[in-house]
Amino acid sequence: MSRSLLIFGSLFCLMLLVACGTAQPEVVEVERVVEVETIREVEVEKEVPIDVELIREVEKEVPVEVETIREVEVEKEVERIVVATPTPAQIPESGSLPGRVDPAGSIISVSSYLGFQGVDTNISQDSATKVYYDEVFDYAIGQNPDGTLTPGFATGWEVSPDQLTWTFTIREGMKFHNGDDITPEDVAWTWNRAVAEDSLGGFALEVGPLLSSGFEVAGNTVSVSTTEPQSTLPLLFASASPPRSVVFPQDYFESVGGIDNFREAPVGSGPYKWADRVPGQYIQMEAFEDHYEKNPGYKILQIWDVAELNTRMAMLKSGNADLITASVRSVEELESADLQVLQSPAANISWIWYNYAWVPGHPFNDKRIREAISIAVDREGIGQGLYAGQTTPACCYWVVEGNIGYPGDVEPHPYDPNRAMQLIQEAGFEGAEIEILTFSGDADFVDQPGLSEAIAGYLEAIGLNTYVSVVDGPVLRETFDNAIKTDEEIEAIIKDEPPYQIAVRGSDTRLHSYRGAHIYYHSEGRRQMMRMPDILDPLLDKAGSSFDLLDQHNAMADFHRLLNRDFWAGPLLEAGAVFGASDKVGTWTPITGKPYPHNHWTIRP
Amino acid sequence: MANTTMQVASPASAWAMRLRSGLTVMRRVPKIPTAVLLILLIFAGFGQWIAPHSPVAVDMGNSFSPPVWHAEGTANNLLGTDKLGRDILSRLIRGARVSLSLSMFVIALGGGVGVALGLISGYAGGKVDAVMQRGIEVILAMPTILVALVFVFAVGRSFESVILILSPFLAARFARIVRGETLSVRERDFVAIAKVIGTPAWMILLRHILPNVFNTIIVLATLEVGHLILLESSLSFLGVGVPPPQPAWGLMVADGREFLTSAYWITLFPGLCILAAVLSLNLFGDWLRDTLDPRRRQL
Amino acid sequence: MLKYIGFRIFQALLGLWFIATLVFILSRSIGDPAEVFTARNSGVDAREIMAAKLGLDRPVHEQYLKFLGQLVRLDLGDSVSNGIPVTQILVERMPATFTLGLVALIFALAFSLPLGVLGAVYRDSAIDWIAKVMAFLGQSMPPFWSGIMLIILFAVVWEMLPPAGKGGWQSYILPGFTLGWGVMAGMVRLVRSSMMDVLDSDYVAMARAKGLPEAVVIGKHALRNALLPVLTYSSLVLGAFMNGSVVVEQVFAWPGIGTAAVQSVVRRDFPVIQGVVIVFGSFFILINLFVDIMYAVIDPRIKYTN
Repeated sequence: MSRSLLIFGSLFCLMLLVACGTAQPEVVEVERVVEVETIREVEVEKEVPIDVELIREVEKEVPVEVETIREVEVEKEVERIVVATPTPAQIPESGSLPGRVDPAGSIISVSSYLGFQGVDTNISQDSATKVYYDEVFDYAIGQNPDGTLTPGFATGWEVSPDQLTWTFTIREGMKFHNGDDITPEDVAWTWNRAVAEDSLGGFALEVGPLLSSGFEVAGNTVSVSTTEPQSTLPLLFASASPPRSVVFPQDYFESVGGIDNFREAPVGSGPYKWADRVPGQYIQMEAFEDHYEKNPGYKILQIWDVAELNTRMAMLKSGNADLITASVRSVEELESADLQVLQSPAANISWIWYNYAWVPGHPFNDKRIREAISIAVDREGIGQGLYAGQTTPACCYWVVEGNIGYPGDVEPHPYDPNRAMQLIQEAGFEGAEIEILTFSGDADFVDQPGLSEAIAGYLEAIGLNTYVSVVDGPVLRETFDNAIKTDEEIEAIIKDEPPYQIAVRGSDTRLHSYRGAHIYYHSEGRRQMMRMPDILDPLLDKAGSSFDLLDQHNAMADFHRLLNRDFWAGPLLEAGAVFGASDKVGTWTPITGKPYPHNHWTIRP
Repeated sequence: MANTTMQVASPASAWAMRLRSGLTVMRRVPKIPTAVLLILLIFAGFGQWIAPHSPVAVDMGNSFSPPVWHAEGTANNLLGTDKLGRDILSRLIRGARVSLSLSMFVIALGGGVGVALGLISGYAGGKVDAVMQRGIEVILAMPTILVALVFVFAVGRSFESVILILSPFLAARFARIVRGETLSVRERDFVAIAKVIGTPAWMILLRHILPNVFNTIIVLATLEVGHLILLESSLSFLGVGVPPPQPAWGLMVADGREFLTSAYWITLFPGLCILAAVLSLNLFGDWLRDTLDPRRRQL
Repeated sequence: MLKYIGFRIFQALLGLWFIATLVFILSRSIGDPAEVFTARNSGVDAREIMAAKLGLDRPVHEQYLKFLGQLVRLDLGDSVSNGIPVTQILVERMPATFTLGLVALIFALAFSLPLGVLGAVYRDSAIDWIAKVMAFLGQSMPPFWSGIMLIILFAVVWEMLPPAGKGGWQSYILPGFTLGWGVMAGMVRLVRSSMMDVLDSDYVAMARAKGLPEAVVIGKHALRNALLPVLTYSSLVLGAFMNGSVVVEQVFAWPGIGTAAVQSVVRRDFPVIQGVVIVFGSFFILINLFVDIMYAVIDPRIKYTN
C-alpha cells in the first residue's frame, strides 16, 4: 500500500509541478480581462453607419470612359471597381469615415483555425491569419466593406509611361504603435525583406517573380520595376490578396534582434495594438488611438481560436463571445436564440473541376460529358436542402456580381437530369466510374464533403458510378497540378483511368479573378490544370497586359463566358458567410467576399 | 470452478468440456445485452433486406425531415432524414455492418498478429521476448488518435486505411496480455511433458497453449469491439474516419453534430446505437470474463 | 539492483530511440510539407526553397542522423507554418494538457472509488448496478459527443460553467469530467474487483472476527489494500489521457498540445507533429520506467533477472 502510494504520490507531484510551472499566470490573465469587460459604458452620439455611399460617390466621378459602355449591367460594375485603377481615387477625408468614438469596453471574437502564433510575412500563411493581420497592421491598399479598394498607407500608386515601374506614394505623418514614424524606408525595407530569396511568404511567391528591381525610396514614394508590364500589380498590394503588403518598423525590428522576438511582441501600424496572447487560446489587442483614420469602437479586442462550431455557438449563447463565425445553416438557430445574424454576401463560391479536360481523347475533353455532369446537379435543391436556402446557384468560376470580369449575362447551368442522361448515352459514358476529390480542411467553405456527397447522389441518378474521396488540400492540388507532371506522366496516368476525377472545391471570391485564373487556366500558369494555349491563353493574356480596367474586365468576362458556355468549369453555388453576434455589436459590416471577420475595428457599440 | 479443471486437462478434452459447460452457462447470459447484440448482428448480416431505403440515395427535397412522431414527420422515414435526405433508420441498419465489420477486421488482423506475437514472445522468452516487449511498449506509448490522424492524412481516407492503422495498436494490446497468459501456461506440467516427448514448438503453442489462453482472447476481443467503435467515431470527428457516404455510426454522429440543436435526430439515433452497442458489448464482455476467466477480472 | 535500474534505463532509452525512428518515418510519409505552404500562390521553385530549408533535399540517412543529433540536444526544429521553435510550442502548450490530465484523473478517482467500494460491499444491489451503468455510460459515448452535450447543458442551458477555454477553476470541470468519464468504467471495475478480493481475504475475516465495526473493516483494512492496484493503474491512465486529449481539447478549445497537433496535421507541419508524438510517447515510457524503478527501490522481493 504505502509503496504504491509513494510511487503514485511522487508521480502526481511531478505532474503537478510540470502542470503548474507556467499555468498560473494565464489564469490571472483571464481574470484581468473580465475586469476590463465591466468598464464597458460607452457614450456614443447618434449611430453613424459606415459611409460606403460617400466613398462610392467619389469613385463614380473619376471614370469618364464609362459613357462608352452600352450595356447597363457592365456599367454597374465599373462604378464599383474604379478604385483599382492605376490612378487612385481621391482619398476620402477623415470626415467621411465613421464618426470617431472613444473606444471603451471589450469585444470577444471567435473564429476557427487562426493559427495565430506567427507574424512573419516571410512564411506563407493561409487566409485565416488575416483575421488579426487586418487589425494589427495596415496594408498599402485597403478594402471597403463592399469589396472595393481604397487607399491604405499608400495614398496613390501609378505606373510609369513605359508601364514597367510602379510608384507608391506613402502617406505622411503616420505612426507605428511604439510611436516611431512610418517612413518610406520602413516600407521599402519590409517589402524587400519579403521578396528576399529565402522568403516563402506570399510576396516572394506572387510579387517576387514579376520584379526586375528591389523596392527603392525616392522622397515620399517607394517604387519598383517589373520585367514585363503588369497591369494588375496593385491588386497584390491590397488587403484582399494573400501577399500582405504590411509595413514593419525597421528600427524596432532590428533592435529586438529579428523575427524571433518581433513575433512575440509585434509592432504594427493598424487600428489595434498587439497586447497579449495565450498560446492556442486567444490574442488580445488594444485600440491604437493615433491611427490616421481607423478608429476602433472597442478598447479591447480578443480573438479566440475555437475549432468546433458547437462550442463557438455555446460561447456566443452563454455570453462568452460577442462575435463568432458561424455556418450558413446557423441562421435559424441564431435567430431563435435572439442573436444577431450578420452576413458577408457571396463570400464563398464552389465549383467542379474536370481533371485532364484539356487532353484530347480524355472523356472530359468531350463537352457532352462535362455538360451532363454539370446539369445533373440541382443547384437550387442543394441550396434549399443542404444550405437552408442561404445559397444561390453560381454562374461563374471565382467571381460574383460586383467583381471585375463578372459577365452579368450568363446563367447558372440548368438542372436537367433527362438531358444529362441523354448526353451520357450519346457519349457512351454510362456506368463510368467517377471519383469526386474534395477536402474538409478548408475553412473557407462550409462542408465540402457534404456538397460532394450530394453531387455524388445526383451523378448516381444519371447512371454514373460515383464515389467521394476526402483528401487533404495538398493532395487535391497535386492531383490537379499538371505543372509538376511531364507529358509522359500525364499519358501514363490517363491510361490508368478510370476512375475519372473531378474536384469539388470552394474558395472565397476574388475581386479580380485574373491572378487566380492564370494559376490554373493559363498554359504557363503555376499549376496548369488546363493547358489550352489557343483557347484560354489569349483571353487571360489580354486581361493581364491591358492597363485599361475596362479592357481587363471585358477580357475576363469573355473568359468566364467561355468557361460557362463550354463547361470548362462547373460553377455550383454562391454562399454568404454568416456571423453570429451579441448585442455588444451595434453596427458592423463584414467585408463582402470574405468568410472571416477582417475588420473588427469597424464594430461600433 | 469449471475452468480450473479445464486448464489442466489435455487439450482435446478441454474443447469438449468447454462445450458441455458452455451449455449450462448459456442459461445465465445477461439477457438485454445479448438481445441487443443479436439484433445488431442481424442488422449487420441482413441489413440490405431489412432497411426500408437505400442508405446512400440522396433526396435533397426531403432533407432534415423529422422523425414520425413530429407533426412534419412521415411514416416513410420513421426516424427522419439527414442533411441529404437520406433515411436515418436505413442508414443505422446498414451502418451496423460498417461499424461492426470495421471492428471485426481490426480484431482479425491486429488481434491475430497480436496473439501470434504474444504466444511466441511468452513461450520463447529470453532475447526474443525482450526485443518484442520493447517494440510492444513503444507501440502502446504512441498516441493512437494522433498517429492515426497522421497516417490517414498520408495515405488517404478510406475504410482500409482506418483498419490498417488501428491494427498495430490492437496487436500490441493483445500481444501484451497473451504473453502474460502464455508465461503462466508455459510452466504447466502438460507443456513440460509435451516438451520432453519432443513435440515441436509450434505444435505446443497451437495444441497446448493456445486453447488455454483462448478464453482471455475471446473476452478481450469482445471488449475491444466497443472500444474500436468509439475510436472510429473520434477519428470521424477529426475528419479521418470511415469516408462518407458510408453509413458508419461514428461518422453519422460526427457529421451531424452541426445540427445538434436544429435537427437532433441526425445525431441522437446513431449516438444511441453506439451507446447501446458499446454498453452491451461491455456488459456481455464483463459477463464472459466472469464466467470464462475469473482470474482476470481487471482486464 | 543498481544493475537492474541501469538496465531498465537502457531499455527506456532504447524505447525512446525506437519512438523517434518511428516518428521520423511517419512524418516523412505524410507528404511534402513544402506543398501545403506554397499551395495558394507558388510555383515549383518555392517548393524547392522550402525543401532546402527543411533539409528535405538531403539523402534520407543524412536527414535521419541530423534529426537524431538535434533530438539529443532537445532541438525539434522550427514549425514550418510559423517558424517558431517546436520546443517553444510544446513548452507553451504542455502545462494545459497536463493539468487537464490531472483534473480528469481526480474526477475519475473521485467517482470510481466510492462507486467501486459500494459496488463491492453491496454486490449486485441497486448501487452496484447504478455504479456500473454510470461508469459504462462514459465508456460508451464518443467523447466529442458527450463533451458537446455537456457544454450545451451546463454552459448554455443552465449557464453554470464556461463553455470553452482555459480560465478559472470552473473551466476545468467540463473538459476534465469528459476526459475522466471515459476511464471511469475501467476504474470502477478495478476498484470493485480488488475490493472484492480483499473482502474475501483472511485478514478481513480476522478483522471481522475481532468484532471491529464493519465501517472500520472496510474503510481501514480493506480499502487501503484494495487501493494498491488502483494507484498503479492511475499512473498508466495518465498516459491514456494524453491520447484522449486530442479530441477533448478540440471540443473545448483547450490550449493544449492536442489542438496544436491537430492543426499541425492539417498543415502538414511535421516538425510539430514529430514533437508532439515524441513528447506523448516519451511521457508514457518515462511513467513506466518510473513505476518500475520505484517498485524496485521499495520492494526488495521483486526479482530482477533478465
